[in-house]
Amino acid sequence: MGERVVVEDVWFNNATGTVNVYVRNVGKADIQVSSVYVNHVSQSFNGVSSLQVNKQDWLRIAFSWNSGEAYYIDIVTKRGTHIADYYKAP
Amino acid sequence: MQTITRLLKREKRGISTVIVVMLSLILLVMIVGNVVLWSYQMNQIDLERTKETLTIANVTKTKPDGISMDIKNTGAISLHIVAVWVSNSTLHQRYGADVFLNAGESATYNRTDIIVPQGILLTKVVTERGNIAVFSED
Repeated sequence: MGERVVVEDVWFNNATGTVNVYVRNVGKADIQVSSVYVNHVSQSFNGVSSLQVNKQDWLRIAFSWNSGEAYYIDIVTKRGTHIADYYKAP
Repeated sequence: MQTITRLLKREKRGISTVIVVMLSLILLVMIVGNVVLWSYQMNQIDLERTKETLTIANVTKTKPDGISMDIKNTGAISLHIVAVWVSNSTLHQRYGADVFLNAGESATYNRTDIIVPQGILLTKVVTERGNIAVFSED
């Protein structure tokens, strides 16, 4: 109920072959990332798994992307909050 | 009141039930009150976030390093910029910031510690409430 998360940046990183998402907790409760979906398919991730209020960090999704394609990235917290949007790979 | 006191003194059976009901009611009111207050606070946060708007009018590179940004608060409430992003296709770099802008106010924000990458530059500023303004150099 008090969870609010914003995605500050999405970086389709050529060097690492990952999609890096920079998330910030702007809500009133600590959050825990439980799963990440790209085009509705669950993906493994590393980096931040829990974020305290007013904290931010990178979330690295192991996903092989293609240049010019749009991807629907959905980050789900343990309480069920979805932070989802379309992002186009450069 | 005296009658009630007299009655309570005479008939003591069932008083514990009344006390339990009263305490339960107090507890219920407290829980509901807290939920309503929490919900109101979150609605207030969401409302303030939707009222907050800002734009980056221009970004210029300064020499030898750094950038100068013309930022305008186009919303009706004051805002706090907490981060500046400078990125191109190969580098996404975040820099912490601490700038306050009143409603309708414009400011030029200079940073000499920002290393500007080569190529098409994307500059973003992020507010404390989570809103983002973007300036693309293309």
